[in-house]
Amino acid sequence: MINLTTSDNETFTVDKKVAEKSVLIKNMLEDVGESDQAIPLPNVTASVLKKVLEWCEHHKDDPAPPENEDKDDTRKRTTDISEWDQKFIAVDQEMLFEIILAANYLDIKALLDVGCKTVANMIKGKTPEEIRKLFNIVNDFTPEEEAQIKKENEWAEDR
Amino acid sequence: MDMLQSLSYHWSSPLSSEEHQTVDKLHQVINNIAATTAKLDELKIERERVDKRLFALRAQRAPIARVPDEILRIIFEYGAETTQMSEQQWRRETTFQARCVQVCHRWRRVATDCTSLWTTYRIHNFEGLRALELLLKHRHTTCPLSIEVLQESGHIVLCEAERPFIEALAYFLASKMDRLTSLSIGSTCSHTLSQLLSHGDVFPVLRTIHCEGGDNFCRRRATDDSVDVIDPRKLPNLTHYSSRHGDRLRVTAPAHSLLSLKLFRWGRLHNQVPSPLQDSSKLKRLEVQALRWNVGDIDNTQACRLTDQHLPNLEDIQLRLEGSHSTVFLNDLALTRLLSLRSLELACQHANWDAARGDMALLPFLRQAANLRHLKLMLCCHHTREVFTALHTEVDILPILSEIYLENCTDRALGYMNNRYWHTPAALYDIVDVLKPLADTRWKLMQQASPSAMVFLSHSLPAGRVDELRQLGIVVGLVDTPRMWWWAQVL
Repeated sequence: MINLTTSDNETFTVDKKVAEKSVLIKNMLEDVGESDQAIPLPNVTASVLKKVLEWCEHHKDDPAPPENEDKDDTRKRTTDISEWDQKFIAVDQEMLFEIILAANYLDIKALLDVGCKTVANMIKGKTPEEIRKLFNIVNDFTPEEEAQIKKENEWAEDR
Repeated sequence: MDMLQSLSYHWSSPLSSEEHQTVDKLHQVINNIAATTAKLDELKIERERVDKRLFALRAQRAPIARVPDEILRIIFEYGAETTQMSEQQWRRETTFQARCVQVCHRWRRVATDCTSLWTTYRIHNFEGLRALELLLKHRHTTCPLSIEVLQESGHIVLCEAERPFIEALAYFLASKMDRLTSLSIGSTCSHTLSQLLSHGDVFPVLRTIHCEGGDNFCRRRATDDSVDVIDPRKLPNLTHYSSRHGDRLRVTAPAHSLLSLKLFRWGRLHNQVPSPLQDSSKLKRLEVQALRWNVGDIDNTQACRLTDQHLPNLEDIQLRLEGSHSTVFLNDLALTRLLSLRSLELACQHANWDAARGDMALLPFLRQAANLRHLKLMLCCHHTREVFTALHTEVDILPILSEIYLENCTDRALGYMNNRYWHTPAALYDIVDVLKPLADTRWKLMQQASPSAMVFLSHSLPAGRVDELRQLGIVVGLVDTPRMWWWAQVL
């Protein structure tokens, strides 16, 4: 079993196999060897780590993903998410992005992909204004820039 | 003031002092209203400004603002859509990525810097082709291009009216040959690869070709016109080739750059077609579905057979065998040395039917694959039992095997055909019975080969007694089964 300490000083004891879904933790364990000391995770809070570990537990027996080398270019451009992952990731926006950041920090590529696909699905079909409202993004274009963008977008009409 | 004027009645007699006072009072009230209205307008403007400021402050703390650019780019890449260059849509870009660049400066910068978002175009017809030419004049003038060609008409035989479009398309591709990295020929397209690439001398960066070629293609007569020719002199850096009609594939010279080959319905068209496998010295990954090589083909094409000099770098084989005799392909592959082979995934649709014929030398093949680490068996009940018996009794076979993946859905296909979505597989019913012998000797060898040795079982198996295997010390994982390749065909 492995102990993990979060940024808010909560300690989680988890199965080594579950913890090793994180490449960061796996590498740390390989570097320092087996130890009773808890591994500090200063960039992850307890509530987020709990969710991340829930995902790792469910996917602990998944085969290792194939390596990307030599793959063709059609790897991305798909936003399919398994049913379990869809339910898992049905959280508020704050938690969704925290999970994404944690997956990035802990180097759990499959979880990062689930998060990114979810955000891509949220964006799909929305207008720029709807996207701004959804994610609380400021429209920092000047009126001139907006006019230019509109013109660019209709590039072919003035042929 | 209008109110005041409307109240300024003109009486002949002089105003009384009280009346004067009242009029003054009224003026005062009206002035107050005007001042308050002006103040209200000012406050409204101020409120709008404060609202915006608050939104901006909150936006700084918004969850998405904390996401670094590299993650934002991954999100964009997942959502990116192929730009359809068709008559109805080409005038206005409405793709996912085109909307993302209109959100804010940051999104615009990240999205425009990510060239892969802007490189994939789908062409249906002349109009789309002209639109793409115009677009590439204005924008994305240097980035790599990925072109998907579909055909709207879907004619079974190439009609004369389509020839000008093919010609124009071929000239367009030739004009972009220094930028073309990927070419996909869609399922309704009846043009061959050779026709589309006919006007370019060399496509130096074309790495990926996908020929869907659909039903139109397979209904054509087996003539030279209907063969997809890979000329490695013209495609010096082609690394990935996939085709739904492998039997229409001809390689004219050694394809030394080819790393992966994925063929569907691969049968030998006629004896003159050389095996592309003989010419692919760097090939790492081979995937063949619905293989249709016949015994007679092999007998008649001795000159084309593989030898121990062929496929020195092949690491990964995925085979979906179909028909009663197609398994001879495996025998042919066994003629190579197989020393680089790391992974084998094998599906046999024929189940027990061939077992008695002994026409697939699976065990001799495995005995030769000394460096195989991953073995996945699907659909072949007899061969599964055969392999597990060998693993139990022969210590030398597959000495560094560390991962076994087992899936058996033979009766599921039949169940679907009979309008029953689930039917318990009968032939490989007792999974414990099949795997138990592993615990005696093989499991220790597997753990020696890798500390993370594992047996994966599909949920499609009747794995209710899997705990018994775990009690024997075997590490067993249960995984979801992706939709089967032949299931997709049935559907």
